[in-house]
Amino acid sequence: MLGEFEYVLITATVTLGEHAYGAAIRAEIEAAMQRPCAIGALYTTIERLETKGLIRTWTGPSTAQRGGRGKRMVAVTPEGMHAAKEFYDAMMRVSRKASWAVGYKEKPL
Amino acid sequence: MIRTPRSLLEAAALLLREDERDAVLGDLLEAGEDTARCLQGIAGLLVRRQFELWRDWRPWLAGGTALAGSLLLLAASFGLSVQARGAMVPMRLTLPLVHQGLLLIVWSWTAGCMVASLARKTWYASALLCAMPCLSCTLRFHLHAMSPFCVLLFLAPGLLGALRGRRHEAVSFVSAMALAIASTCLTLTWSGATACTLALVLPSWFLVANANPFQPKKEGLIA
Repeated sequence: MLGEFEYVLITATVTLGEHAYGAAIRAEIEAAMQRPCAIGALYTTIERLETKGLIRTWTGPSTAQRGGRGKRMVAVTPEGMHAAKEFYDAMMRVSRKASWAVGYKEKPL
Repeated sequence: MIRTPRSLLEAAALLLREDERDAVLGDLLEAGEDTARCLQGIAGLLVRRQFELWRDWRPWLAGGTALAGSLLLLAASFGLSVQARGAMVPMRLTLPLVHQGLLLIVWSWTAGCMVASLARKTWYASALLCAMPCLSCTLRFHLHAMSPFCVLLFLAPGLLGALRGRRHEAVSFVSAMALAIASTCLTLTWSGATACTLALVLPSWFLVANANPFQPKKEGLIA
């Protein structure tokens, strides 16, 4: 099962689609979670998820804004999508009787 | 950003892996953070990388083997030195001396190879754990007519074993098995064998376990 930050990273990557790379994912996470995201946490999690086969990465184009340095592009694999869905459903199931989670209907995997 | 801090940042980034250096620096520049925050980010990444490595059991086993192995091998080196000194007077090479010398070489080489192949990325910790007892023993050594370096005889074969272990390939199954059998037989037939010295045989059997006969080109255990 995924950890919380792993789920957040996968979700941010899916949200960004083909524009998902280190800095963009970090900005997306910070905006969604409303807290700072350490670059160390981001890159170690990317590496861990890649080792598990849940994401894949490659070197993307560089821009002047980045001082001509390449990007680490990220894409979620089908296994990653499945793991994220499992995590999401588990969170929904465990939260269904919580007062703040009214109205959720369980869906099959 | 002024020139000096940026150079500092690039110098700090040299500690990162080559394949991620550009991406991390680019991300930090794109985020427009100041130099102090960038340095903090790089330091954080380096620390987290180390924590990730130590979540595995291999660096712990390598460190433990390096420490315990060096303590035992210091004693074995001293024993060999004493025996060699005794044999030097009539200037003859006795069989027990050769036996003990061979044992020290095999024990040291296999232990070095095991430690290095277990934890290549945390080699510095294993090296430190091996160096500490060596340094302590050498500095406290006060035996008349014997050099303090006589306790460090195991270092040369140990380092050769470590260099072999750092290569990204396991010792072949046949070689590992031959080494393990030779090491075990030599240890069991040695007159000075104790329970502690039997522990020095374990690295050679680890090399056998790591050399899968069904996967001849399998990489060693890497952490």
